[in-house]
Amino acid sequence: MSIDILLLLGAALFCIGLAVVVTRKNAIAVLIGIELMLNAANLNLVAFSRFDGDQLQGQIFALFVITVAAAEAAVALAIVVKVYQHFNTADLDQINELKG
Amino acid sequence: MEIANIIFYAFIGITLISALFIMLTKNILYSAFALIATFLGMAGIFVLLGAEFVAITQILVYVGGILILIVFGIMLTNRGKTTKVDTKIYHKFYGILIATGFFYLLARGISTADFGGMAWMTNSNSSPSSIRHLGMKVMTDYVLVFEVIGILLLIALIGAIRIAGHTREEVEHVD
Amino acid sequence: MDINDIIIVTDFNPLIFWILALLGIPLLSFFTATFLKKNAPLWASTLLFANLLVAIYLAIEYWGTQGVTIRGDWFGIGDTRFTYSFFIDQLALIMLLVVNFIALLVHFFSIEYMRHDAQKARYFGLLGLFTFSMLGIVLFNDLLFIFIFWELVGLSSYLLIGFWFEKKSASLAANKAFIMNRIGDLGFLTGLMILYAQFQTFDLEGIKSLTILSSIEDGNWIAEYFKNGELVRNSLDGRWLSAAGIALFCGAVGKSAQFPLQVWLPDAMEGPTPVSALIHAATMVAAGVFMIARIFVILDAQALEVIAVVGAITAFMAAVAALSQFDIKKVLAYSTISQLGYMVLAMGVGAYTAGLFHLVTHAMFKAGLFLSAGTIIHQLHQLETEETRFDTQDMRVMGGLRKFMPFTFFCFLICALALAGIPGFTGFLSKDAILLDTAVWIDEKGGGFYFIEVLAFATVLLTAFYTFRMIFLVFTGTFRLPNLVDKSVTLKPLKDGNIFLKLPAVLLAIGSFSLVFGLSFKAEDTWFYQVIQNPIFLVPEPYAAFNLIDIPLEYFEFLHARVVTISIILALAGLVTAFLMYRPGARFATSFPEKREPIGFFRQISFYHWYQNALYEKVILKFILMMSRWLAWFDEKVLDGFVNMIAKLQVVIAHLVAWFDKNIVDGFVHLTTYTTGKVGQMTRSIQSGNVQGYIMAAMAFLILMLIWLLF
Repeated sequence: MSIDILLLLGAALFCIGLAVVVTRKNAIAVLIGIELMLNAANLNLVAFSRFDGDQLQGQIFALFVITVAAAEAAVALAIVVKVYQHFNTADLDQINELKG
Repeated sequence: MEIANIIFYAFIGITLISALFIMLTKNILYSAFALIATFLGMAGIFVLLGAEFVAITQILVYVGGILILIVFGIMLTNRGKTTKVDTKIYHKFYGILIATGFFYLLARGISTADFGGMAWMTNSNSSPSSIRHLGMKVMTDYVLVFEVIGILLLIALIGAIRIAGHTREEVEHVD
Repeated sequence: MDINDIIIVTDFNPLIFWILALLGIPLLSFFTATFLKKNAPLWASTLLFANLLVAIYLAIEYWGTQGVTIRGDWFGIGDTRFTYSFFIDQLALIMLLVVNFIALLVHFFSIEYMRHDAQKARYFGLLGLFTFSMLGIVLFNDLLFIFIFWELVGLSSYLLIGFWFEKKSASLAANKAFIMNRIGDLGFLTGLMILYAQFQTFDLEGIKSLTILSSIEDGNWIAEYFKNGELVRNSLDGRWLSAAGIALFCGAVGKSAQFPLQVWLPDAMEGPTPVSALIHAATMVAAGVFMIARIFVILDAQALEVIAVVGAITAFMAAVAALSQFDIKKVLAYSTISQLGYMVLAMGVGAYTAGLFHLVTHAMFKAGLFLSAGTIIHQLHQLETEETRFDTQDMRVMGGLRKFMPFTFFCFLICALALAGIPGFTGFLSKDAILLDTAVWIDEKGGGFYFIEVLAFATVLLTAFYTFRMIFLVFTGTFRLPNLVDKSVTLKPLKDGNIFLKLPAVLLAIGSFSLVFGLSFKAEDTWFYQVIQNPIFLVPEPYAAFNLIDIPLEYFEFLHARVVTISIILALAGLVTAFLMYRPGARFATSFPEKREPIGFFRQISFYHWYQNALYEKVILKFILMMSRWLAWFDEKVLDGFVNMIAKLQVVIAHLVAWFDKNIVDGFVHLTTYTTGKVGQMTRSIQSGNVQGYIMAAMAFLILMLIWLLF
């Protein structure tokens, strides 16, 4: 159970999340990508926590990340719903009123 | 090969495959469901890493909370449609290029750093964790952060309701 | 002597109000009459009547006084003071009366004469302007002011001659009068400059006083006086003294129609006949003589000789020209020139009083003649219809008018007798006085000046002849008009004018009786001679002319009988000749209506007024036209060529500049805007509003940074 494989998994998940965030037009799909990236970070935290003498700081931080992610998801989805009501679409390329 | 290792790699496999599926599928609903698999796989890895409480929280919050929200979001943003809830894709080439490039760099960095060979890694005692110990830590050393996180959640909750719900004028208008 | 002690600003004198009234009333008439339209004639006449009353009041009040001066400061430039001054003496009073009286009669006459003219408001306004200007000349005692009003008189004369400006001949005549007057005024201006250079004042009293004080030393004319406490010593060659007098006289030559500028006056008959009566017979042309009278005392012997010669030549030439005219107004015009020549001759020989006397008498009887002629013209005009058009001024259409217009005939006859110099009428008195003084002067001078006497006496004969020729042709015989027009046309009966036409003529006819001036047949016995006396010349000694006052009275007595006899005989001879030639049934009277162009050298000279117009046309006009053509060529080819070249050069340069501007300067500007726009467009595309694009960019830079850091 080498740490490298966990770190590589985290990196892979992060990059997959990044790819999803960048390529998807739908806002909810983008959110899914963000969740993936957060989980990749969590994985790193928990993995290093496994080799930590105290063993708990990483886990506690992971807990907080999960909590924040939940808050983020709630607010983000609220925004998406509102945006959908306003623009009648959830496609990010069409929600560009602020472009220069 | 130990049974634990097999399970460990199995979880890694589940996580990785479902994550890749998320990346490859166009259907948002499918990707949401694939996300469940990813979360579950990760929860398994967490358990194997001795972070049972995190794993449980992961399942509770992500699978029970966030995914439900996402599914609701999908449904709310595709009202009245009977077709598949596909998302359009763009930036395909650059996105993949950046992702793979970044992954290459990270992988190269991880392999160069060689965490596994470090002294504090090899000397660490991997005693089994206890949820009680975690609870003590949270309520003592990290109590301030805990409270702040609570308030943050509350604010997020209120904010989400405020954003997604009807404004006062809209309420009056409805009445 | 300080000049400031001579030109003293007088204390306040209520007379100034009367003077201002005299000037202001006609000016008011000028400004208001034009707006009144239909009521203008009555309004203007009323104002003029008021003005005459003012003049009469002043005459009663100031008669017999030595002359009142009113002087005030006009303006000053540095130390140089300019004053205005009025001078009311008996000469001014008489002139005021004459001008106002004749102006009023002319206004009155014009009410009928201009009744059907659409522009009569303008006409009466201009009469007001003329009266104002003329009174200005009479009242002011300052050469600069006299010059100003002199020009105003010229202007109003121009406007009135060209009153019917739609007629080409009228506007041409107006131009001619104006230009001829300008030539004379140039001389006036020169005289002003000479006098100002010497005396540094325009005030006549100042000029006179300083002339007395000036002296002739070694042929130089020296004026010494103090000005603001400083001694001024001006020295000019003595001939400038004569030049000043002659130059000032040039003004009179223009205005009073003297040789060689007299050609404008016959043409000026294009104006309405009352205007001819007022301006070109009675007043304006007299302004020249009046002006000579004002400067009389500073004229030296040489200037006076020139004046006398010019006057005699003018009198004779015009009398000859009057012999053969067809146009009744032309005859009167030439006779006016001739009589003006007499006045100028009188001034030249030093017969100051006689000249002015003739001015006054002539004003009366000539205005009467013109107004009577105006009545005839007006009444003949009534006969004109759409089918019959004829020249109402042509004597060939008249004849036998005595039967139709007996009243006009008598007025005309009385005035004509005065003009011809028949005893019992004013013209005899004044002309006789002039002839006598001329004879005395020439006896004193001797030499070649006898030709002046010859001309003067010849003119008497000619005057009587053309006057009675006119009377015979116009009033006796048969009315020729019915024979000239189509037989089928029945003419309205010709009759005398109404009261508006009759009254002025009869008043002027009454004024032509010598009884008005006294019972005697001798001019010296009239009240005019008591009032106005020959002044003493003020010119320094060697240049001064001898004065007629210095001649013993016995000598006058001795010559008087001869002169009177000769002039009466000549006048009667003229009368008889005219009777023989032009009485009804005589040879010339019968052939007269068929006459067209004159035949024979003498007649042509007379008819074309010594070919003076033709001479001017041939010589001066041709020369001027040649000059102007050459100048036009020079202007067109050389000056304009130069200007055009510069203009072309500028256009070329402008084109170059425009090219540079368009391609280089604008190019820079466009490049800048283009670059800015492109950069903006490029940066704009980055700010696409696409969050994922931003993320990609951020990640790409992160990757690049990592690559840079790690490898």
